[in-house]
Amino acid sequence: MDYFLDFQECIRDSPVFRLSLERCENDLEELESRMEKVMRLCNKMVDDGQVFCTSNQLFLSALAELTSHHKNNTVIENCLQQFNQALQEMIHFHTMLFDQTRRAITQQLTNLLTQYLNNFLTQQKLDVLNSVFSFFHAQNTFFHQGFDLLKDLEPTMKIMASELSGLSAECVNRKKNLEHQHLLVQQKDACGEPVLFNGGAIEGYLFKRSRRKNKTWKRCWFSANHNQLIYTKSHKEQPLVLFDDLRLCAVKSLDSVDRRFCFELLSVQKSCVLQADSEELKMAWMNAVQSRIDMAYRERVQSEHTQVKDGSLPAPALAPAPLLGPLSTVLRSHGNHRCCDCGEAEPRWASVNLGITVCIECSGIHRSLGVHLSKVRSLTLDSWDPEQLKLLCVLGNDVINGIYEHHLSEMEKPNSDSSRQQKEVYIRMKYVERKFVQGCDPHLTETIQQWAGRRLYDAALGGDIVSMALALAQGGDVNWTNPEGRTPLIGAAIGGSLVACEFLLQNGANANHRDQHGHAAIHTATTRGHTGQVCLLLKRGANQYAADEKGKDPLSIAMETAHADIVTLLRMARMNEEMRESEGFFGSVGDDETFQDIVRDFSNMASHDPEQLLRRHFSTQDESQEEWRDGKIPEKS
Amino acid sequence: MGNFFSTILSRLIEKRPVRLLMVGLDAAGKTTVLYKLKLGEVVTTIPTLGFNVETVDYKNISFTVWDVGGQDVIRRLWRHYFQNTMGLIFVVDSSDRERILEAALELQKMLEEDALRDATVLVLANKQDLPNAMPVHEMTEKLGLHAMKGRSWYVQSTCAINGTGLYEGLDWMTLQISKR
Repeated sequence: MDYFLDFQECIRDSPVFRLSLERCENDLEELESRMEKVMRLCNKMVDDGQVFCTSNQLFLSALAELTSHHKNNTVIENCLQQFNQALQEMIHFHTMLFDQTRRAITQQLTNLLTQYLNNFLTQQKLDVLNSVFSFFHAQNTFFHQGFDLLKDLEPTMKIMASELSGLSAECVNRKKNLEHQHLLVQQKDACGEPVLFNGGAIEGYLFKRSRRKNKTWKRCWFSANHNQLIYTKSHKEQPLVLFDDLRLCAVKSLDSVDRRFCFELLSVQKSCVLQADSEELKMAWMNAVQSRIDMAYRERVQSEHTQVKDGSLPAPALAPAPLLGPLSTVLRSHGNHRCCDCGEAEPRWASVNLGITVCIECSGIHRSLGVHLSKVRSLTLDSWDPEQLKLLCVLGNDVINGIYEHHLSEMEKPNSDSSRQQKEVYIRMKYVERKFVQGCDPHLTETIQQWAGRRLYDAALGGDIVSMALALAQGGDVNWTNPEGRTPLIGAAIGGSLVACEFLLQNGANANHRDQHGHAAIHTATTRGHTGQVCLLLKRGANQYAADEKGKDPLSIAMETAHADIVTLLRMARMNEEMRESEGFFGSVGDDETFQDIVRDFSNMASHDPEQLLRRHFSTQDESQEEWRDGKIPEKS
Repeated sequence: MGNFFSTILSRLIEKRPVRLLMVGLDAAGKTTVLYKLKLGEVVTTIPTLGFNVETVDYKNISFTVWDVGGQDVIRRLWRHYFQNTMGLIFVVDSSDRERILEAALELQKMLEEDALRDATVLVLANKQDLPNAMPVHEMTEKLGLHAMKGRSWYVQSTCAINGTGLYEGLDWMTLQISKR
């Protein structure tokens, strides 16, 4: 179509013109139809492209959602974010490309179509090429931008690749672990053990008999934790508390039920029958629950001692001792960390008069001997006087075994695995018959008794607790008297040792025995100003009204010798006694609180800080002397 | 009418267990007493952490006996067991003269509890076989029982390891409960 219509010929309207016009029109028509085809296809392509972009957008957001659970890894999250941004950008580029394509092809060609014939003929060559070129340019820009974008992302891709290789290595490891665990689980499944944790907590499935009438059995997940027993019926339900305070709960084997492997948990309010999968499991559960109960006592004791006096409940009068500190000191000294009789670790019981620690089973045997031979207390569940704890520290398992196991060759000492019977035989031989004590004759002669009694007295005088324990073991009478009529307790009061006093009193010394001059231990301790001992003797029931040969009772001796603290103590004790008598036996609960406080303070001071008592005595002597003369000691109504 | 008789009949036949609470200081012999009554034999015991409970059938009465530990800390939990207790068995080690006052205080504290106001009190002066054991009259005096008004009480001397006195104590308890 390299020709134009000649105007001259046009005016003339010659046949030549007609022919060329016809040819021209034909060509034009063909061209137009081609252009329309191009435009139509272009429109279709752009429309489809826009659909593609929308789908792509949806696809990308779905992809982002899929990868969103990698949020815990910041590096990967960063990479993914950048990728996503880049892909979004690409969609944007696509949109732009389609816009430009439409503009380049459709708009330009449409413009062209509106031109007059000649104009059209002049322009069409240029415009068609132009539009093709700008289309190509748009394509070029598109791919160029894309290239730049992806090139910028190359470092990110490297990071991602290295992360991926790391992850894949991790994945392999995990797979291995999983396989291993799977194997373990399969093995465990075979024996079906409940899960036991380090702290003694237990978890697992048990059958629980309904407490309703129908007595159906349901498999529930049980866990004993802290102080509670909790169970879950199904994963959809909240865990329920079966027993909220394990201390008020007991566990018993139950053989009188139609099912095997049953045991019963009961408290005052309810009882609950449970079934385990096997006898071993039943035993495991019963032991675990029992140990949780024991633990609950221990834990509760600790928490009760940390949050001293809650206020809501008036703390019982007899529980002042802060146990944890003393307990650890007791267990640290002289072999006390193992049971004195069978060597089991972590003994929590003690014989106060023997000065040893024992395990719970041996404590049961000791209790069966009677309090005249062994006084058993729990180190965690009973309250302790400071003097008693001191006795355990001064004596202790090593010292006592040195005395009571001197000739152990005759029989073997039981260990923690020995039967109870073996332990019992041994303990009876050791403490009742005293078979292994050095120089202890089963047929105690008068001379030996005298000799041991004198040694006991001398040791008490000198405050030598270990020798006292030995003399006692060798058959010395705790109430032996010397020619002046003095017992070892009076000797201890002369010597001034508080622990010696406590040791004798714990072993059955008569607190009120009096010598030839009518002096009991409390008189002697008062005369010599041993405040701690006076306090202890008062606590252990010494009679402070007894008068000596000169008609003086301890109070008048204390006033004479001007021992202010002792006067205070004796007066308070008198007041306390009078109050108790006047109120009748069931009038009040026990001793007066002020009196208890004072006694407690004095015993603590005497045990932990005896020098303070001495100093108090000298420095405050005059003031307090006047104070009591003026009758300033507070009176309680 | 038939309905009325059947109610009476079921009430007569139905043996509702009598709930007894057995407490006392540690090492008084509570668990030994419980199993001597239940099994007729002396079991070896260890200190009770928590409690033991057994039903003892005696003279056509079924007793549920709760034996609660006596350690200092556990004593504070005794009150959880008070509800519906018809009889209180207080076991005392008769040979432990040093702690008789402590035992008296615990008994006294308990009897002040409202939940135990109707409970019959049986004191077992246990371990009579040991040297220097307190006889019944001394125990009664030391526990201050004479001062207690408006409540039926009884002190029975026992020795759980050979069973002496246990059923005598239970006889007294049965009598008191059937009087109600």
